[in-house]
Amino acid sequence: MSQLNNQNPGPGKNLDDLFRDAIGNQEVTPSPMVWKSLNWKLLIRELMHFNFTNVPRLAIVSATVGLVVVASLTYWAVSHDSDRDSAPSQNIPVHSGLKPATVPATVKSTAAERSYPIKSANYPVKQDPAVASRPSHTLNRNPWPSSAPAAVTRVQLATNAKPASPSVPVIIEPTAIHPESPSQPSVTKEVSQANETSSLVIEPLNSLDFSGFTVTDDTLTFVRNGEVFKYVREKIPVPSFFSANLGVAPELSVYTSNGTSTAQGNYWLNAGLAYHFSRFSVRTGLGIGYTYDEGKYLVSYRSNDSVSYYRKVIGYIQDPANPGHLIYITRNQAIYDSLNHIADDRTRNRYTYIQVPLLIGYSIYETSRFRLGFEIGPAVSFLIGSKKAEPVVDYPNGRLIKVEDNTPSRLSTNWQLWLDLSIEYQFTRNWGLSINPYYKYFITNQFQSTESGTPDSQAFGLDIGIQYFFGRKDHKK
Amino acid sequence: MIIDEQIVKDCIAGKRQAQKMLFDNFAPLMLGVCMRYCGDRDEAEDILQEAFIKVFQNIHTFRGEGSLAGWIKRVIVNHAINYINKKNKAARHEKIDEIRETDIIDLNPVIEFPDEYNPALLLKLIQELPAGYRTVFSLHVFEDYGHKEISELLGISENTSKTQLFKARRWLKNRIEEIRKKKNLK
Repeated sequence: MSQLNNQNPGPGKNLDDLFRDAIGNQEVTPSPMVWKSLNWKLLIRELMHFNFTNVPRLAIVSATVGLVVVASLTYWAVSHDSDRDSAPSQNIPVHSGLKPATVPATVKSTAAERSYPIKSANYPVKQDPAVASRPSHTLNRNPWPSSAPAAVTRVQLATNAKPASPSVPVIIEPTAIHPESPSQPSVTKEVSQANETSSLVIEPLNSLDFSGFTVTDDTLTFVRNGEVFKYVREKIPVPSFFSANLGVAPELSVYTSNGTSTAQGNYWLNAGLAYHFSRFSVRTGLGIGYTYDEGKYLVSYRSNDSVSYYRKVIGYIQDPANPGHLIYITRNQAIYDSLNHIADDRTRNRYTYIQVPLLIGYSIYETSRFRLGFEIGPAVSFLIGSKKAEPVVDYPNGRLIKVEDNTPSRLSTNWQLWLDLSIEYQFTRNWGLSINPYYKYFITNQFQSTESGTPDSQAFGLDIGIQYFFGRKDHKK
Repeated sequence: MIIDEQIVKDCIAGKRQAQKMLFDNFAPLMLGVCMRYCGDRDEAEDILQEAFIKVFQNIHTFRGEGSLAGWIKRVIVNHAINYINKKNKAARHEKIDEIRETDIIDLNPVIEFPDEYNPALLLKLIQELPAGYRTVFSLHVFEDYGHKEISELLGISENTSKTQLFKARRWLKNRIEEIRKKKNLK
C-alpha cells in the first residue's frame, strides 16, 4: 500500500480505498465476440506456429507413403490416359528386304480402335473410288487370316516414335510416273508397339499397286499406280510459352551448430513466372515466408527469499514443576534476504523473409497432361521483419534486474542453392497443378557466426500450387 | 468454477475447450482490470484478447507458486501497459509541472461515499481520466505498485509518477464533488 495514503479519519473513505474497494475486483462480462475473435486468432496462431518437429514420426512416414502412392496412381492414370489418346508414330522404319506393299486408302487399326496416321485427317490420301464405294463394314474387316502364307510382312514401330501432331501439315506431291509395279496380292501388316499388337487390314485392291516405300525422318515416299507420293512432314517449331504459378510450401529447416541439430517449421507463399522452351524452363518469382526459432533469454531477478529462521519469544509462563523457572513460548520466524537469481526463459520468435529464386528446369518425362522434371539454381532471401516474443517473468516477490537475449542473430541476406523435383498435372488447357518437393542448401548462413563456429543450414519443403499457362496451344500431343 | 491443475495442463497442451473454460472463468475479472487502463470498452476488449493469447502462449511458465488469477492479472497488466506505452506515449508524457513531494503528502483526500456511488460510476470516472493519470493511478491503487516501480515500468521519473498520482486524485476528487453537487448530495 502506498505510503501516501492517509488513515480514514471519519465516516468517509480516502480516495484510494474508495476506488479499490468499489472496483478493485469488479467484473465486466465481455461480449461473446471476444471469445470468437480470440478463438480465430488462436487457430491462426496455431497454424502459423505449427511445429513439424512435434509431429510423430509415424505420421510423417504415413504422409510420405500416402504422397508416393497418390503420385504413383496419378502417374499410372495419366500414362494410361495418354497411351489411349496418343496415336502411333508415322515414322515407320521398313525392314530391309521388305517387298513392295500395297497400302489402300482404308487402312484401319483393329486393336484398341486406334487410327493409323495415314488414315487421319493429316494425310489426305487419295482414295480409290472403288474402295470408297464399298460398305464400311467390309472395309474394316480383315478377310485374310493372319496366317496367310508368304504375304505377311512385319513393320515395327520405332520405340522413340513421337505421336503425330494434328497441326502437322503434309504435302502430297505427285511427281512422276513410274513403270508399272508388279501386281501383288493384298498384304496384312502387323504393327506392334510396346505390349500391344495392331493389325493393319489391307484390302485386296488389285487395281491399286503400291511400291517403292521409303521412309526418312520427315519424308514418306511411295509409288501408287505409277504415281510417286511424297509425304513431307514440316519441321515442328520448338514449343515455348509462359506459365505463372502460385503455391504454398511448408518447409522444415534444419540448422546444425556445435554438432547439435535444431529443426524448425517455416511457411512460404510463392508466386512465380516461368518461361518454357522445348524441354527447358527458366523460373523466377517472389516468395514471402514466416520462419520461427526459439528465443533464449537469461533473466536476472532479485527476490526476498527465506534463508533461515529464528525462534521468536512470544510469551512465557511459570514452570509449574520447577517454581522459579520460566518456560518461553516461541514461534519460528523466517529470516528473509535479498537473493539474486538467474532464470533461463525460452520464447518463440517469428521472422519474415522474402525470397527470389532463379531456377533452370529440365523436363525428364512428358505426356499430354503430366510432366516430371527438375529445377536447380540459386535463390536469395532477405529478412524483412522480426517479431520477438518478450520473456514472461513470473517470479513472485521478485524484482527484475536484467534480461539477456542469447538468441542467435540472423543475417539480413542469405543465399541458397535450390534443387527441386517438378511434378505437374495439367487438368485444363490453361490450368495445372504442381507439386514440387525441394531441397535448399544455405550457401551463406541464416545466422551470424559465433565464437563456437558457423551454423550449417539446410531446408526441405513441399511446394503445392496451381499453374496458369499463357500461350500454350493445347495439351502436348 | 474451479480451475484445477488439469485445466492448466490442457491449456498447455493447446486444448481449446480448456482454454475456453479458463477464459470464461477469468475474462470478466480481467476485463475489469483492462477497463481501468483504457478509455473505452472496445479498446479494453482488444487488450483482453491479445493478453489472453499471451496467457495461453506462456501458461507453461506458470509454476503454481502463486494464484493463477494473480499470474494472469500480471500478464494482463503488463500487456495493457505495453499497449498504452506504444499507443499513447504522448499522453503519458504530458507536460506537467512537477511538484515537491511535501506538497502531495496530504493529497489522498477523504471522500464521503454514499451508496449512490456505484462501481460503474467510479469505473467511468477512472476511464475519463487522462491516460497518463489513469495509468499511474491504476498501477498505484489497484496493483499496489510503488512510485519506483511505476517509474521503471513506464520509463518516467519517480517525481513524475508522484505528480501524475497527485493530479489524478485531484481530478477524481473534483469530479466526485461535481457529481455530488448535481445530485444534491452532502
